Amino acid sequence: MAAPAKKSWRAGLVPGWRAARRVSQLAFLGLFFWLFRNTAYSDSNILHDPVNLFFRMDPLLGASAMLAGKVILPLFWPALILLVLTLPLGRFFCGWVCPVGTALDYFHRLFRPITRRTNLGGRKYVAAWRPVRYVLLLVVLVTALFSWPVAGYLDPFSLWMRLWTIVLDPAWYAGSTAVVAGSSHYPQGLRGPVNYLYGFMANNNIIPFGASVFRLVGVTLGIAAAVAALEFVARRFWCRYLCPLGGLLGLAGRWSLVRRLPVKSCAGCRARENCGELCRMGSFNEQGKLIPESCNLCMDCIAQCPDGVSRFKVKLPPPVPPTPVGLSRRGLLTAVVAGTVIPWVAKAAGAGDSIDPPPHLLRPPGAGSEDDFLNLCIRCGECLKVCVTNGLQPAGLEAGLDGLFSPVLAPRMNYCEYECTLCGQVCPTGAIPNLTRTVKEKTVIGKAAIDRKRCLPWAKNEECLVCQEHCPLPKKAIISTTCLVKQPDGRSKLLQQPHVDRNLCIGCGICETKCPLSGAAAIRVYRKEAVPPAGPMRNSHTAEHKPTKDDLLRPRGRPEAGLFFRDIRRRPA
Amino acid sequence: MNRREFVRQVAAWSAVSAAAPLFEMETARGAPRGRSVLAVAKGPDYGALVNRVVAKLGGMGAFVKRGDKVVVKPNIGWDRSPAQAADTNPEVVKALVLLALAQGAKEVLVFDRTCNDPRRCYHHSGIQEAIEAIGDQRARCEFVQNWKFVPVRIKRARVLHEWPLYRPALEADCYINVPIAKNHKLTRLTLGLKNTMGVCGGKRGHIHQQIPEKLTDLALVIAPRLTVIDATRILLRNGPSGGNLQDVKVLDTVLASTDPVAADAYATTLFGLKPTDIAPTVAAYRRGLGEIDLAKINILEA
Repeated sequence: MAAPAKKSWRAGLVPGWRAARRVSQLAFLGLFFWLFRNTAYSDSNILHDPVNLFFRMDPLLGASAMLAGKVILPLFWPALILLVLTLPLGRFFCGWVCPVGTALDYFHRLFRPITRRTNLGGRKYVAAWRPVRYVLLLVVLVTALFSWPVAGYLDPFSLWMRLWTIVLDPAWYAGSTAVVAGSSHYPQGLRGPVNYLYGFMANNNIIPFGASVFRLVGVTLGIAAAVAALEFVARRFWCRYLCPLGGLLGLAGRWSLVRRLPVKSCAGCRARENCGELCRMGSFNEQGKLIPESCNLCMDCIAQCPDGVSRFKVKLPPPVPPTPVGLSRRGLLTAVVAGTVIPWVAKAAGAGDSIDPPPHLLRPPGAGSEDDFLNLCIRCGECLKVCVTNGLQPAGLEAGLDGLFSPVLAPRMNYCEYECTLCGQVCPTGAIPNLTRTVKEKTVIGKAAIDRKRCLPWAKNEECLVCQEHCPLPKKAIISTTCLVKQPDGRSKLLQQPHVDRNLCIGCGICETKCPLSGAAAIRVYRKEAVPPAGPMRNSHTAEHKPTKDDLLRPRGRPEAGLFFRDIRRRPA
Repeated sequence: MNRREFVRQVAAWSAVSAAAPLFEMETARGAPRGRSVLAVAKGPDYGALVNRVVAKLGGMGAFVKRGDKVVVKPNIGWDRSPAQAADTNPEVVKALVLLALAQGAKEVLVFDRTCNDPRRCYHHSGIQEAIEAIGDQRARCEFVQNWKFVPVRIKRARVLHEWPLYRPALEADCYINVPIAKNHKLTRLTLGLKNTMGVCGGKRGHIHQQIPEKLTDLALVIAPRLTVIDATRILLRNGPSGGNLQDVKVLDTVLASTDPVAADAYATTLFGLKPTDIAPTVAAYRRGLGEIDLAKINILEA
């Protein structure tokens, strides 16, 4: 036992291909985090870094969005480069680049003390699972063709980005902030270092700028946890058997020029584990033959080969690879039928009450019709991450089953910043168009309407106008009329009551965000086709109390009397 | 440490961290003694205007001593450019910070709890850049951090008996209020008293009900030593957020007073209104926080 352990210890230190792979994995993980951190506002209306790069180099998402949207998306040119590189190199992406793969590798390493002692993670040959990734790949492509692309739910980047955006990053902020928030109670000697460290991390973009709160934290975390838990069944279970992107890249790299030799693990191997047992991707089949579209070039088998037999070589592939793809006719048929039927079921599940989209279902600025939007959206969560206000939220089931995780503006959470265009800049597919600032400022997300049964000036004769104050339009879309109302004590007072100018309102939702009522706001944004009819410019009890000359001359310490006539003149046509 | 001891210590520390301190505050300062003084200056160089009005009031040395913690509280509420006159002019803020630094202040904090996204407001208003351009470690333009709001019980308040306020504002040795004078639908104008809402935590929409009395209650505990009103560019319509340059009038005026009510009262006249037209100013005057009658204010041309 001692000899192989010593061997593997030494191999870990010798710089070589495996070390290079590890460096590459860490570098790309670092790149992911750097791009992730920069997926945020930073003193400029324009994002300069290619923050959505990982999505744009994903051929699966590119193909799905193009099939579903029936458009060519030139933004996906990095995906083409990846495909071209995969042809001669094989599935290097999964072993050297993919941050999900890296995370799973480290997850495995974390739990190795457990998996070693128990038999968990020891099932190396699960042949029956092997074609599943191709079934899922086909399902992704066929559902895209039939306009409910499930790519966003099965693509590793989408899972990964949503995990960080929705769960881990907000948790990181909350945790680090809680530490510094309590620092005034710490002993004197600790307070300074804690505050210094926090300031350093905040200034250097290690901690996100502000708190964010997302819906669907449990679902997001659950999906990620399930993917991670599969590590206990087999190493890289997700990558081996499920990942449709891995399936696609594997097929593209089936005839790669970089071949591992020998094509079969040696019969009399001296090592504790032979290549087939060692391989994290399960790339050796039951006969010990290498499956080229499974190998992710992790280089473990080279580093741990006791005799130096195992090696990678640039070599022309045989015209027929040694192992079949393994997708049976039954599997193919299942995939195509499932891909066709799933969109039907999803559409039939619908959004609930009505054939029309729900009245408060608001999409990011510039999004097309509900169908077009859902076709192009890959549920990547980039827009959720970049949104300066945290107003963009992943949809639960309110947009229908087929809208799960697609972005909606939830104005009671937060509003759409008037001059901000970041969500359109980060969207990899153009589901949210990249609008210029001037166009965006005129783009209608919805229309606000006031519920006079709850609005303080209307329902309770209390002054407020918070919605009017915050309306960002240079010519306010919320105006007010001043009227005379009778108070409980019998005296009259002048009161300003808000109205929405439907022609001007763009539905940014800041009024709904800032409305001081608890619970639902008294002013809410509706889809523009669903906005309820506006009430009369005056409410009924006002008409009973026509202002007398006396009221206007002596406004009882309420100096806004002068506004009365001016406001009536501003009544819109 | 045995288990019982450990549990006891954990409980003790948790109790300490959980107990949010509730500050009880007396009225910070009554009405200014003697006749209120107000300095006003007009000219194209906004930084120089600030220097002139402050000099007329006795110089910054009258307000800031060596080693003081100073807060300069502008209006940075909106994602607007200086030209749109929704936020305090950065040159005015910068000039005040420079004066405080020159007096040997230990630190000069500039902040506001914004209405739009804070990063966008700080950047677009030009104030962050102006403070960073000073290049002095003591002057900091900081984002408001939520955990620094502390609940404050305001003694002698009439309506707003308790509200979370920003701790650095309460702890400052010298609090300088630097509002921009502009239109506001509910209160007609937003001036010094209204600018204090930028140190308020919580759901500020609630302050809009009975706003004159609530702003007066706030003024009991957030009492600026100096109020400098930026009227270099005033917003006449569609305030307080503005956005249309046609609603902006260039006055090239800065005024300052130690009396917050007097400063607001005088600024009101720049809009062609009477000081008594503004309900919060009237309420603060009635509670004895300052002078509203222009005839009783010593107005100095600086």
